[in-house]
Amino acid sequence: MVYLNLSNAVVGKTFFSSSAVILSFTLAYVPLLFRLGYGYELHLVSTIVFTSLGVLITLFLFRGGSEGFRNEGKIRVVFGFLIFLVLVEELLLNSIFAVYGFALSILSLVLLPVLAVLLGRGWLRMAVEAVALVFATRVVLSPFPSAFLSLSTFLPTIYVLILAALVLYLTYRRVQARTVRISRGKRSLAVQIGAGSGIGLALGIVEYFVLKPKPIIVGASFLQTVVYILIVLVVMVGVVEELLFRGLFQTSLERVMPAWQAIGVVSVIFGLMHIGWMNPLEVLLAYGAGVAFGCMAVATDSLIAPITAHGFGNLVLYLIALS
Amino acid sequence: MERSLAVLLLLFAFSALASSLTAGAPLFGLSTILSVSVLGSSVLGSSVLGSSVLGSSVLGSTIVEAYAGAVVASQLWLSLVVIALLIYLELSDPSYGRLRKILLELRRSWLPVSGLLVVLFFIIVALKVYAILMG
Repeated sequence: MVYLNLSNAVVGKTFFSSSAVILSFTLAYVPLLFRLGYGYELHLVSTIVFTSLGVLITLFLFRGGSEGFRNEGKIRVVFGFLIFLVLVEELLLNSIFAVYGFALSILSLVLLPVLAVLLGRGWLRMAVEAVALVFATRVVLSPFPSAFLSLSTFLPTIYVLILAALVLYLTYRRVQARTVRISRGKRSLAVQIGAGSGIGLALGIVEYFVLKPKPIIVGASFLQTVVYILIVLVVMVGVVEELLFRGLFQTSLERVMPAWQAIGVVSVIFGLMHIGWMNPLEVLLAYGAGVAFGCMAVATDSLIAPITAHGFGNLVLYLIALS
Repeated sequence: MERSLAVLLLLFAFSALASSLTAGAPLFGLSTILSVSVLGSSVLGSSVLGSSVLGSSVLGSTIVEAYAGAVVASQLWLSLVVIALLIYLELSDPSYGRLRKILLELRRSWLPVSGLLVVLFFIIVALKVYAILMG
């Protein structure tokens, strides 16, 4: 296969490969939009196209920095397969075949640890088990009947459960908090929070125009709504999702493949987890956001900047919607 | 458990309680990676640059109905998987005798998954009991 050797800087390589994914997807999306028009077919075809481009470009087309990593070919095939597994599960879960989506989530949660054991010990096993935890974010929904979806306690409960699963896993595997980047990092707090807020502000504004979401309304008072957004969508969503994706998953992957490739793989999966919005551009935006968060995590060796950006992005998005 | 993780978990439990107490019901319009919650509450309002994707189509409401049915089915599967895992964990207990290394590794790999699924199983049971008591 023809491939390009990229420069040595992680951020440079990540920027180059992610730009290739975004550009090629955009080039494919525009004709699809004109041919299919807005609708479920466009959503379905474009998410498949996005995933294929993401896997091809991130894992197979570009190379660079992979010297010193063992079983590189096998690892690329495994994570290519896992990305498509997430795609199928998400498409099923957000369709009239949701029942098979749940079945695949439960099956993946149970069978991926088997794959992890077969692949050996160490970081590769942890990276595969981290994908199982991504499926766990879907499985935790199953105890709750659909009537719970509109309750204000639903989201906090779900995020406490996901965090509990993460803490249980990290404790059981004896992973130190510092290893998954729960630390003050290499840069000053002001720089990390400043950079995170800036990127979060930009992402929140762009995401608003992509999604135009309905405003969240909690109870009768405006203050209640703002407090709820701050606690749940800023703190809980930011911390849990970043701990899972940039903390555990990306950190494990960085030990078995080049950092730029790890960021790309995690971001494609992060993008696919947004399929439920039924909006291909949201999937692409989430991918881009994942790349930015991943680069921040690598550059600062901390989750402070990505958590700030993620939480601040949600805050901006919903404050605009609310206003 | 590391202190920072324990503190984070406690903070989250407290925040969940606080947000539940401060918030009123019902809640409208959500956004998270937990996209199915979007399906339940606001998929009919989702848009591509302002143009409705599913609009008020029959497909949108069918998906929401399918999700409700899927949750019920998934509870049964989850319960069966929990039982199977608990049986495996019991049978692969090293105190019963020597086991092949791969089976022991599998036992170690499945322990955290089993822990999570058991908690979810108890939530299912608790919600069923609550539903029965509330009529």
